[in-house]
Amino acid sequence: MIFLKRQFPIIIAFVAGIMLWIRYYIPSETSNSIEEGYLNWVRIIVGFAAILGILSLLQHHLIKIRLKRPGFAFSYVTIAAFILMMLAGLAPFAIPGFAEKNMESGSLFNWLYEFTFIPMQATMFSVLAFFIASAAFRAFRARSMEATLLLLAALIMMVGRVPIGDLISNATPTFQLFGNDYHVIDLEEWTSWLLNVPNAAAKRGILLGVYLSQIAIAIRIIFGIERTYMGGGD
Amino acid sequence: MIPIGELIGTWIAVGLTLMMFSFIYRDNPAFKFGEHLYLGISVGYYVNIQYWNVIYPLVIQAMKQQHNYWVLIPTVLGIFILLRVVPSLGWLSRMAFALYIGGFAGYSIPYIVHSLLLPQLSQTLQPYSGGFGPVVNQVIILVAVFSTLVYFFFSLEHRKTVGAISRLGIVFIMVSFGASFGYTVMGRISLLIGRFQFILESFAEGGRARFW
Amino acid sequence: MDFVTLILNLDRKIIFAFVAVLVAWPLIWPLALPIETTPEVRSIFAAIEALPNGSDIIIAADYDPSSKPELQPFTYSLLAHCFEKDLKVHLLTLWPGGPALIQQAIEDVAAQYNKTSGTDYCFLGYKPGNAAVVGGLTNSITGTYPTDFYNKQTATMPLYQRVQSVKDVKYIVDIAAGATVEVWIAFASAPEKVPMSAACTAVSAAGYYAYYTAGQLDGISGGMKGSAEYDVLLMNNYPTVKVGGATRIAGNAVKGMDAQSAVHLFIVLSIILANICYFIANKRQRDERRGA
Repeated sequence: MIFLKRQFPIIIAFVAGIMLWIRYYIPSETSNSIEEGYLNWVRIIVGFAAILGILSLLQHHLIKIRLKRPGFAFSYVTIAAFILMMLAGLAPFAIPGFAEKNMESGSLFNWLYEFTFIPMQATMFSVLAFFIASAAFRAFRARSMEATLLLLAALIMMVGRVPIGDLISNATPTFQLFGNDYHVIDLEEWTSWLLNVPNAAAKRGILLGVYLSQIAIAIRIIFGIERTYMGGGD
Repeated sequence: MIPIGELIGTWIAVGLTLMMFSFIYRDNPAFKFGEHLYLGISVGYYVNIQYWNVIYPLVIQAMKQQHNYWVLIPTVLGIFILLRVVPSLGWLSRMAFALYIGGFAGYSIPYIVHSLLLPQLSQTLQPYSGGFGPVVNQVIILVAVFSTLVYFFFSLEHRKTVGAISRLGIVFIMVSFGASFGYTVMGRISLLIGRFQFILESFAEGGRARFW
Repeated sequence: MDFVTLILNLDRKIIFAFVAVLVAWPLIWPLALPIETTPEVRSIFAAIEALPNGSDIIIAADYDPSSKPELQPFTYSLLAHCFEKDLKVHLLTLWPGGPALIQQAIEDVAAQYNKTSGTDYCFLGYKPGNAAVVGGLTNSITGTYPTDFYNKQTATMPLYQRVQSVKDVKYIVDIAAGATVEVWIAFASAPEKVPMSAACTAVSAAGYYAYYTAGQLDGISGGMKGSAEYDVLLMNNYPTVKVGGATRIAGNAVKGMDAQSAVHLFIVLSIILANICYFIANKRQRDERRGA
């Protein structure tokens, strides 16, 4: 039993990892079928993993109701909404008042998606606009060289990437250099340089580090050194 | 004439939008109601998406129409994952995770190397050409990539030359974070604009919330 | 209380009010500021424009309602552009929250252009596992998506008698709210040598310049501004595209740009003002300490 619980998963990870790694370097019908089969299995497994998250969330709300924890009444809203939405999509017939069944346009499912899911999710994220504006005003200070650089880059980006930036730039006088005309302030040009040169280079430096660590972690997983995916317990 | 379903729906959507906005003032029961409703709706939505896009076509139809019973293996492994909610059987999920994560580790290594790491490296070290401006930019890029890498290289103590290079690295990193921050502000404001557009258009001439 | 102290201790609700008014005002009374296009977006448009009529394109719409205002206009414009050029569109999503949103876009635009599912386009829907989907498409599209979003068999569709895998398509565009651009580059675009572009949320745009400058992406469209630029390019090049009324295809992002400008200008000025006050307050403190 201990073997099944501890060593067997590591053996599965090792065999699967090595097979799928090597297959890349041996192009053949067999390696293609291994890849195709594995990826198809993964899509199914990941589908179930997504349902796991859903189950634990429902479990949390059911426990909250059972123990009458503060605000448990709201958990009824969650459970009721869940049942409604689930039935709307899974029922094998069109819900009365709606032309279609399941997820087709004109179904209750689609109606609920358009008029509840979209507005609530979109608004939840849009509220951040207020907080980011106030946080920028209250905390964005040129306290040090690093903070000043960050601040300047952000300010140039904020004006340079919207239409008002073009208006400001075009309003400034021009000068000649090497036979070309330049605006004294050319926010569009500055943001373009900022994004394409220092920003892209720093991001590339960070990405190179990320790739190397991804490779290192992958190798550790294959050889059973990294086992966090196994979770706790024995 | 606007269909009655759309009219009622738009009013509900506007109401829910305002309910979620009420959080700006302070956390309140209306927002809490909206938050929990959203949770329930989204969970029900995701169950449907996973069922109709994964389980139905890849498992049920694969067995019924193509008589492909191999899909029973990942299905059993998938059920093992769900058993995580039962403490005594939780260990079974390790089989599924081992196959998924172990396999993916091996699968992804060559792609990371050939599609991401090597192209990014080779683009950093291109022959210098294109005139004064582009060459200067290429040199800046090389210096920036190198100094950023040094900044994140913790196996060497950041003193003397290494310290100076890593300080140069932080200059580029800060400029890059500044650019990201500027863009982040833009993104957040756009989302707010989207919600305001929705409310205003719903009540404008020809809008879907107008019954008058 | 003097001005400096007042500014440094300003109630955040006043900032909130300014933001709300500056968003609403230009939406009600538009300023119609001209929108200039950037090379990054122009190159996406040029790449699509350069595709031979009738060729195949994969459009991955990897986002959900949380980034709808930024990316949905791009999806509409890109679909309209593709149908104007009679490109065959293979539309899919790696985000579970996306399918119903993308369904709206494809059904609206396809109806405008009288395009038929299975022949002119196919909405493949959602499959989980990011790389497991993208990698699968390089082997077989119908193997990865045995059915489309409407549960119709893909293998029997006329579209998939010519197209087997990613190798057979001419272009990829990822409209992404998350880290899927890397997945498309790593597992499809680079190994199969199919060129691609990305339209992403503003939050992630700066990060993708490493790929753009390395030539791994032809172009980048960042956030609502990028979508507005694509709208402008589309409307200038194809004057017949619907821009008004309830059936509007393009122009949604353009309408938001005035508000975007107004709020950005406000935030920039408020940061500058707050910093000036911060330095004045600091100087005062130093002077007081010296005096004491």
